[in-house]
Amino acid sequence: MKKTTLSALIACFLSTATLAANQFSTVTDSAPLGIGNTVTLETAPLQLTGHAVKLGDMMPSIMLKQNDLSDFDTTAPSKNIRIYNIIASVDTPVCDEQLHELSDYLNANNTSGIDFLAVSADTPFAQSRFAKAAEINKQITFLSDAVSHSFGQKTGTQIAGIGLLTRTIIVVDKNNIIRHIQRVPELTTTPDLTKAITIAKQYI
Amino acid sequence: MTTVTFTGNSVPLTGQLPEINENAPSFSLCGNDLTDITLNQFFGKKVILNIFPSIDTPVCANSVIKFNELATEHTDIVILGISADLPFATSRFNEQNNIEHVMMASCFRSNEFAKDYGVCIGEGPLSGLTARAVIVLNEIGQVLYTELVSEITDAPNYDAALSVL
Repeated sequence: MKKTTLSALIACFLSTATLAANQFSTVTDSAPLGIGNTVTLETAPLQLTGHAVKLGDMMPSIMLKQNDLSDFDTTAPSKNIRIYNIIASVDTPVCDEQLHELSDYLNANNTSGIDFLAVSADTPFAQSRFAKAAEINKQITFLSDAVSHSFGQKTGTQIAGIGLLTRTIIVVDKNNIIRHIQRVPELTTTPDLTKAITIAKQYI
Repeated sequence: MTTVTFTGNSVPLTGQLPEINENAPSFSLCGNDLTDITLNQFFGKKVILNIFPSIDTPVCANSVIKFNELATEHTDIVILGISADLPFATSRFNEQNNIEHVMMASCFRSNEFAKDYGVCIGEGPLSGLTARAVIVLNEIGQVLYTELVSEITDAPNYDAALSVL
């Protein structure tokens, strides 16, 4: 990995202390997942890897860890629509803002029939600490892909060589079919939550 | 197969801890600044590997704080804090707790380190994380001391580790 990319990552992700709220823009653009595609981090292009999922696919079977260290199977039967909010790390500013936006939305709106999931490579302990400290709405279920990075590999949301997930929203219906994907082309922008919820409501 | 316990429940580990007097396996881990940390770069200094499941748990956090304190009496050694935590999490922890003498090294990108050092938890609630262990290496990377903590929620034996320095 080039030093310039590293520096960009560090500059973007680690300067949490100096960040004000709502400084990252929400975008409607989406770019493809998986191997052969790139996500930018400001000027640095980062390669994605893994098998890309697409609209109409079944969500692949992936085992993740919940904050109580119990297993979460992405193919377990569900009465609800699932919105996967895929993020790099709860300890980075963009993800922090994205989760606060979602949490605020849940505090203000009735979203019965939809499960909100947040997936990252953080350990379950880090996610749990973040959710408590940031007073994140308890309707959001945090899921850790730290076990084997299989979520990234099986959905094409893995950033190659870095071990983190690229920012993506995936909406999955009750039959576990993928109905909406938005993968933001630039890591320091956030996906369109309202659009994902509008689509999710069509399948309740 | 080596096993430890987590709150009394058996946890099987993959691999074996390195033996005393053996050369420690080489490794490449990820530092808080996202650059690589390798064993080679510490040749010439004694190294303590403080391996734990996650910095966001009290026993692990205490172990880093304790080693940070002990390091002030042993300025010629390198202390690494190794876990599958993301560098962002360990960076946040070090800043908040003024940790200056424990260098965090994340094994989150692959389980190679965990397997090579016999601390890889392959199943159960902590799968994907590392067991608690302390390994001390001499100036040329040979193993002077190992402790695999038999109950993951117990603290390691700091005095025993420091006694070999």
